[in-house]
Amino acid sequence: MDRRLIAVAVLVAAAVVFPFAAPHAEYAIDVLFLIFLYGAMATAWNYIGGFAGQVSFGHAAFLGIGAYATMILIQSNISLWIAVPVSALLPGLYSLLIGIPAFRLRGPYFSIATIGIGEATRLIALNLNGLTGGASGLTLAHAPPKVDLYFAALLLCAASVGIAAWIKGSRFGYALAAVRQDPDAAETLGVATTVTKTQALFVSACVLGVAGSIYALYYQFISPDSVFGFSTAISFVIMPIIGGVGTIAGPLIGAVIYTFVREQLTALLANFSNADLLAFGLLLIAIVVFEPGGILGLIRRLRNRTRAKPPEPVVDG
Amino acid sequence: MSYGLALIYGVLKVINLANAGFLMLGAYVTWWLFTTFGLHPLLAPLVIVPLFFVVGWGLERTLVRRVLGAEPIISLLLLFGVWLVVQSLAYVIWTGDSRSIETPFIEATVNLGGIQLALPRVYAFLMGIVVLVALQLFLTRTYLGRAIRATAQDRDAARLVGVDVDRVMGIAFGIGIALAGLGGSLLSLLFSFTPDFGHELSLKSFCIVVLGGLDSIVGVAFGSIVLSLAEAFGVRYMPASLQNLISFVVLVVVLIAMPKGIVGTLRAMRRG
Amino acid sequence: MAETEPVTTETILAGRGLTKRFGGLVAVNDVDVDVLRGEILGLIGPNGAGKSTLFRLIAGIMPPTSGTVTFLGRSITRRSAHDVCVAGVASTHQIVRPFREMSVLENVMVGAFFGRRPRPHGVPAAREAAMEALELCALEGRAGSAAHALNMSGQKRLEIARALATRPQVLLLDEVLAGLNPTETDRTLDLVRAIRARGVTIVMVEHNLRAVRGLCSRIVVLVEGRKIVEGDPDAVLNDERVVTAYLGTAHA
Repeated sequence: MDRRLIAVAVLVAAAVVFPFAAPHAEYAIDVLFLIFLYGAMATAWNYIGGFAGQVSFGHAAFLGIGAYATMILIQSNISLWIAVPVSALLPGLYSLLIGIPAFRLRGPYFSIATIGIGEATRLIALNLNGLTGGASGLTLAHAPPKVDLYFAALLLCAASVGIAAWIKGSRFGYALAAVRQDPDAAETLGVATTVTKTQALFVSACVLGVAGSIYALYYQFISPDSVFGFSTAISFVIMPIIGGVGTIAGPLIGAVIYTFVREQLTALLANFSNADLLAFGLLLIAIVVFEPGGILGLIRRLRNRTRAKPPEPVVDG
Repeated sequence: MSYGLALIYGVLKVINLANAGFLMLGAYVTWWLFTTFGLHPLLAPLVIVPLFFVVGWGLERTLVRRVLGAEPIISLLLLFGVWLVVQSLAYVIWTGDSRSIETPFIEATVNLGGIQLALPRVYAFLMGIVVLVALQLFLTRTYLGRAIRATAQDRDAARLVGVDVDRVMGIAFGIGIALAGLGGSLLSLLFSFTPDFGHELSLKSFCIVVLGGLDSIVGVAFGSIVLSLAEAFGVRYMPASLQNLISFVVLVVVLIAMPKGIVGTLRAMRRG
Repeated sequence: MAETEPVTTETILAGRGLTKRFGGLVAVNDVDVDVLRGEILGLIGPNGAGKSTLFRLIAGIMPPTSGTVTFLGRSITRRSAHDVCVAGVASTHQIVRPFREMSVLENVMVGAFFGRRPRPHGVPAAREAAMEALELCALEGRAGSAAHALNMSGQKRLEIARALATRPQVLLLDEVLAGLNPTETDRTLDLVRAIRARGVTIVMVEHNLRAVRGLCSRIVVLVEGRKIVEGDPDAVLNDERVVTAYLGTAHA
C-alpha cells in the first residue's frame, strides 16, 4: 500500500504546484477545481450512500443551502470566517430535520423519498423570493481570487477523503457497514441504526455545505436550478457508482471521469445538452448489471482472476 | 377545479404490483414515455398498451432479471439509469420544447349537474376507474393475476406450487410499463408536456403509493384521492409553484405518523 | 438428571402477562416467565406453540400486545432492540444472519464494539474481545474467512460468538441446535455449558428434547400460546400433559 500513498502524495503535490507553474492555464484550473470540488462532494455522499448504504438522490439540497447561505451572508457584508461555518452547519441541521421522517424508510423507498426532499428544497428556494432572489438567483460582486478557491477545493477534497479514511477504519465504520448489510441484525447487536445513519448524513451534509460555499464564491452566481437541480443531485450518485461505491478512491475516480466526460461532451455536442445524462444513464445501467462495484470493483475482479486464487474451501470451521 | 385534480389522479394511481418492492419502481421510470405518442388522439392507447407491454417485458428479461438477486437498491439504480437514458433520448429526439395535443376533443366540455367539466378530464377519470376495476378483476379472478400476487408475496413458495415465476415477472413488469404508458397517454390529453413531465408525476405517484400502502390497489386509489383533495385545497391558499410541495408535506406527515401507509395502519388497528 | 443447578434464585429476566396477538391469532397468551440468574432455561413446545414469539417478546425484538418484560428490575418492554442489547440481553436468530461482506472476525467485532458497556476502546481492543469470543466458539482458526463461507455449524457458532461479544448477562438462543448432526450438537452443548460457566444466564428455545433434558436446569413448556408446565426437566418431560402435547392423546 505504500506505493499507493506515494502516488497520492505525488498527485497532491502536483496539484498544489500547478497554479504556480502554469498561472495562466485558466481552463485547466477551472477543470481541476471542479474535479476537487466534485471529488469532495462525491466522497461525502459516499459516507451515507456507500458506507451506510442509504442511496440519497437529494444531496443537492445540502449543496444548495450551503451556497445560498454563503451568498446571502456575504452580500450582507458578513465575514467569510462566519459565513463558511454557517454554510457548513445549516445543511447539517437540515439533514437532521429530514432524517426524522426519511430514515423510517428502508432501502429504495428512502431513495425515492430523497428525490422528493431534493425537489421540495428546490421549490422552497425558488419561492422564497425575498431571501433567495427566486428563479433569477443571486450574484456576488466581489469574491476571493480563483486561485485561493482552487486551494480551498483541494483542501476540502483532502479533508473529505481524510474523513472517509478515518470512518473506514473506525468503530463508526463498522456500524455503518453493519447497517448497510443487515440493519435488523445490527440492531440486535446493539447498533443504534437510526442514530448511526443520522450521524453519517450529518457529516455528509456539512461537507457539502462547505462545498456549496466554495462553489458560490467561485462562480459568483447561483440559482435554484444550478445548485438544487436534479442533475446536480444525481451526479453525486453517479460519481461514486462509476468509481466504486463504498470505497475511498471510488468517488474520486468517478469525479474525474464525470468532469472529463461532461467537458468533452459539451465541447463536441453543443446541441445535445442532455447527451451527458444519456451517457451516464447508459453507463449506470452497464455498471449495475455487469459490475456493481464500479471501476474499482472491475479492477479488483481482474486482479483476482490473474492471480487465479483457488476458491476458499468450505470446511468445518 | 378540485374535480379536475381528482380525475387526474384517478389515472395516475396505476402502479405495477408484482414483487411489491422494487418492480413497482418501473412505473416511476416510465411515466413520461407517453411523450413518444403524445401526438395521437384517443386511439393511442390501443397502440401504446401492447407496445409498452412488450417493451416492459423485454426490459425485464434482459436487464431487470439480472439484478433481481441483489439488494433492491440495485434495481432501483438500474431503473433510474433506464429513466435517465429514456429521458435524455426524449430530449434529443423531441427537444425540450413544450408539446401539447390540440383537437376538438380537448376543448369540449360536458355539463354535469350544472358544473362545466372538461371532457378530457371526465374521460381520464372514467378510464381510471375502468382500469382500476379491470386490474382488480384481473388480479383476483384470473390465474395469471393470482400468480402475480403469489409471486409478489413469496417468490419461492410460488415456484413450489408451479408458478412459472420468470414468466410472471416478465408479464407483471410489462403490465406495469403498459399502464404507465396508458396513464401518460391519457395525461397528454390534459396537459402540455416536456420530457421532464414524468419526473414530477412519478414523485406524486410515489406519495400516493406510500399513502395508500404498498399492497392494495384500492389503497392506491384511496391514496390518490386523498392526495388530490389535499392539493385541491392547497391550490386555494398557496401560490401555484408550491403546490407540489403539498404532496411532499403530506407524505412526510404520513411517514412520521403512519409508516405503513394509511391502509396498512387501518389494517393493523383492526387487528388490535 | 439436571446438569446444572441454578447459581442463585434471583430472577434476572421476567415476563409478566405477556400476550401477543396477530390479527385474530393469539400467539402468546398471558404467559409469565422467570429466568433465574445463572441457569440454563429451556423453552419447549410443539410447533406453533408460540415459542419463537415468546422468545422475541423477551428479547425485545417484538413488542407485546400486552404484558411487561423486566430485566434486573427495570422494564425493557417496548425498548428498541439495540437498547435491549446494550442493557445486557442478547439474542441469536433462528435463521442465521451473518454480515455477508464481512469476515468472521469482523462480524464478531461488531458485537464487541457495540453491546453492553463498558465497551472496548478502539479497533485493537475490539479485535481482542472478538477473538476471545471466537476462541470460545472454536472459530479462531477461521477468523479471516468470509462469513458466508462457513458451513451451517460454523455459522451457528458465529451467530453465538457475535451475540456473546456483546457481553450479555442473558443470552437467548433460538433453536441453535436445529440442523446439526449429533457430533455438532454435542459440541454446541459443550459450548453452551462453557458460556454458562462464564456467568451468562441462558434461555434456549429448542426442539431437541434429549439435549434439553441433559442441559437445562429448568424447562418451561408452551402449548398453543399458554404455559402449561414448568420445572425440573425430568419431571416436565414425563408429565402427561407434555407428552400429550407432543405426541397426541393416543400415546398419553
